[in-house]
Amino acid sequence: MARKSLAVVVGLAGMVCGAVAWACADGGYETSWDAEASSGYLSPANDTRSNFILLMADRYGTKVADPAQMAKGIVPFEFPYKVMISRLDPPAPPPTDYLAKYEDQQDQYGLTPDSNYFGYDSGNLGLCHTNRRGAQLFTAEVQANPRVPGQEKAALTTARATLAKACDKAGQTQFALAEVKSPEGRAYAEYLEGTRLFYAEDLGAASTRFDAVAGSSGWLAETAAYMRFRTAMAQAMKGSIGQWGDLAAVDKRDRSAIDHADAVRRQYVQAYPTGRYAASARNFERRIAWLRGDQAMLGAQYSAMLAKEASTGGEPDIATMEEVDRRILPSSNPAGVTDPTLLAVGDLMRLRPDAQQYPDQRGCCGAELSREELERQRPYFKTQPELFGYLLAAEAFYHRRQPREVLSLIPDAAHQSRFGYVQFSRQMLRGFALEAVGDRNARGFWLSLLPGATQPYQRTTVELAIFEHDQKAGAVGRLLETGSPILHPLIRQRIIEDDAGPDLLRAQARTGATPQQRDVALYLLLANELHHGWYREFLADQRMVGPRAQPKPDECLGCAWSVGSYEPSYREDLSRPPLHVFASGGSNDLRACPDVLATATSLSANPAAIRPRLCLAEFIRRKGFDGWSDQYDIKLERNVARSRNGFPGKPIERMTIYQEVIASPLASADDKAFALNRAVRCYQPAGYNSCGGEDVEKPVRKAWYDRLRKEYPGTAWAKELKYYW
Amino acid sequence: MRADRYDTFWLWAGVSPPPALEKANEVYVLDGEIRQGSPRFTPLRPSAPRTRGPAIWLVIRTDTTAWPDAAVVGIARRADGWARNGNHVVGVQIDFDAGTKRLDDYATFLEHVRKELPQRYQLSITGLMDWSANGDPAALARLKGVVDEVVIQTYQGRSTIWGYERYFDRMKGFPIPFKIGLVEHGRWIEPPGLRAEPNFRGYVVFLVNRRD
Repeated sequence: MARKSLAVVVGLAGMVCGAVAWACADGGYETSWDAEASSGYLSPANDTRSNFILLMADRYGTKVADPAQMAKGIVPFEFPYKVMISRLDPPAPPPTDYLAKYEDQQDQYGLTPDSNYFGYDSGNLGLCHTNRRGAQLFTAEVQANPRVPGQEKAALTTARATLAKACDKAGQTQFALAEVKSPEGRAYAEYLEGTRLFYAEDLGAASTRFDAVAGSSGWLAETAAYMRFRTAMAQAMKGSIGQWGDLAAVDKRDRSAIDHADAVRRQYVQAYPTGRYAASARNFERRIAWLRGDQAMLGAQYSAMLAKEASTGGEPDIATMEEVDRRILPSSNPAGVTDPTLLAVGDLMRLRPDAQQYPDQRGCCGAELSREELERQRPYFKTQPELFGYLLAAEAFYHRRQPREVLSLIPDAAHQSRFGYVQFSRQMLRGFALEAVGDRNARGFWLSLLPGATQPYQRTTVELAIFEHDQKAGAVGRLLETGSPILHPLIRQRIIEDDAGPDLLRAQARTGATPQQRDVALYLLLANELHHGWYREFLADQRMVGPRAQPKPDECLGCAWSVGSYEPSYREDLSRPPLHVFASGGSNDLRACPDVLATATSLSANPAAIRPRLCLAEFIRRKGFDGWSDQYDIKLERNVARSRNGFPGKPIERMTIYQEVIASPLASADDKAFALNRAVRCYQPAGYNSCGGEDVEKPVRKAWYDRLRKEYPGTAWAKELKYYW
Repeated sequence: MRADRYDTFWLWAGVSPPPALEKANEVYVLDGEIRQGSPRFTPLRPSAPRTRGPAIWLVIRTDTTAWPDAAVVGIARRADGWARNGNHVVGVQIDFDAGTKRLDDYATFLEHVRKELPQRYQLSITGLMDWSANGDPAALARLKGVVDEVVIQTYQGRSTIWGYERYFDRMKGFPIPFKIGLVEHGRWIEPPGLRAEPNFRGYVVFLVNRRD
């Protein structure tokens, strides 16, 4: 069985490039594709957005995880960004809330039922989100305007109400406004037609209508001026779409449309500096800069925004953070960026893979960060010296690989009652450096971090480091002893699965920390005992199984009990191992064989007894133990049989049993036929051996088949076998 | 592996179309997502493509098989819209990580999709290498009658899955027409015998952005 490493991140931090915040180069939209790593400390290997969240927690006091979520199930070590996000909010509300949210959204957009699920096609520009609110404002204004005659008011508001419910049908909608004749009413009608054309994305015509009412006064004049800008903005967006429906490269965008939109925007802001839509129009400056590909402007804008939040005690929300991330980081160009948080996130990204070792992977992360460049950033970190010190050390460690420098840059401050994430990351990095130089106090250092590692994901991080340390020292067994610092169920189970020998398994089966860990230990103990012919021990230890219910047919018992199957994004807990197969009655469905307890009893009296040996093989076949001893050997590039959990000697393999029986002069006709049948079936269905032992060529399989048919034609084993493979 | 040596591509949202796309024969274009519990389809592409020439597959990414009632009809409508834009739309691809143990349920879901999807559109799905190694042969046989092809992924994230060669030993005799999905800049050495597989239909390259 191939084992996924539980703990790759510590050793490889900074070399792995699978961890890019995969925000697109041109920054249009969210993709959650392969950002694989988040963790409890700042690291180049983290998704940029995960580092952002950790830094925001220190700076603004924002949350890193929801306590209720963290109290449930397994806390992951390294996990996709989307898992971090899903743990940020309280457990998901029931579906009724989705419905409410949906209705809200529907209300805002004002779409016909045709577009209930798909909305309107992504072929359009997504303008409808202001439809319903716009209708409310329009209606209120018309109603309040004494210069519009009563029946004209009714015609105008009815027309707007039609559009308010059918934005997606704006192109086909026709207003009945012929009766609207007063000058004031005509202006509203003109504006209304402009609105319809705007939502229909007939932008040129919409603009003409808005121009036509620019000379009126009050709400109408101001709103038309703003709508001229929105129309120009939509035109600029349209001119920025490429052949593939994507945002075109900067040099392929309609520059004059973008400049025009900006000019119209400025006109509005100048005419109405404190107007109804002034804040919105000012915020669009970022969008214009983004369309222009003006990184320096964006860097400055977002830096100002983050600094303002910090000085006013506000906190950026996740959506804002993600916007900053996808607008600034993909270019890996720090032009204009003066904010320490934003600089730090970008710097860490650029410390990712080693350009010489992984030249193919540099594409993700921009130019490598040098010490000199980092020094030039120093003035921006005046308020955050600890963070800057961390970055200096991170550059030394991940870029130039100088762990001793880390030790002088980051003094020991392990004893804390509570770590901020920057403090914690500094000490983690110091720990990695101690490991890298082989300091004999490294383990003690890790242990001293534990009391202060109280914030989300911190304790698991330290435990993993302790595990890695002990694993390197070949001493993980002690981590299962009483008083062990390791509480994490995955680490404990991993030690049971990979490092515990027979004695430790037996002890864990009795006194393991959780029912899951006791079951895993017992399952491994019993399966290994059977595979190594320890029948007496098996029978003694089997008593610990006790009664176990058989799983229901569609129950996935045992399908993902191993640490190697743990997936932070799919489930929170591992399932229990299928111990029921060892329970009394758990294997009495084997053909031509008693249950495994009777088989083991026979074999403990005579380990070479032929039928019981075949029955042991049958148990292995039917109860999911094929491949039990297989481990993929990277050097040999194939699976080899290895004993697990430090059991001495070679594990029993089915094919060996069959070949022995086929060759044995003592075997009965029925035994021989049984063995031949099963040996042939080992190659079912595709001609690949699933029974271990030595592989044989097809002519040998054919010979087995022929012999079964010829020499034992009367047996059930011959009659049921119609093919060989 | 280098994209310019291939002619079939997967274009994710947010990936800048590289020059290799100009000469493509076939392109799988991600349109949007159907997310579990979400009240709306999530478009992931700012606008519909307007291409002339390559065969286009409209790709829907999803994390659920509990689709809203009108979903397939809606997808067909989107595909029709793309066709009206002048694109040569040949089919719809569903990108769902069906666990190997759940293949049978997935086959049931796909049978439903196939029934609702107009015959003018082929149905493609992405698949995992693990299906060939550990999938239930009966479930795979069911899929055979339902989908026109499977694009087998050899990568996780941006990296080629380590040990893919081993899985390919068991791809022999894969019962459904299949393509192999490769990640651009990933590691790829063609396993011996792949070209001789009767159902092998070539490669699809998953394009990735470079940040430099």
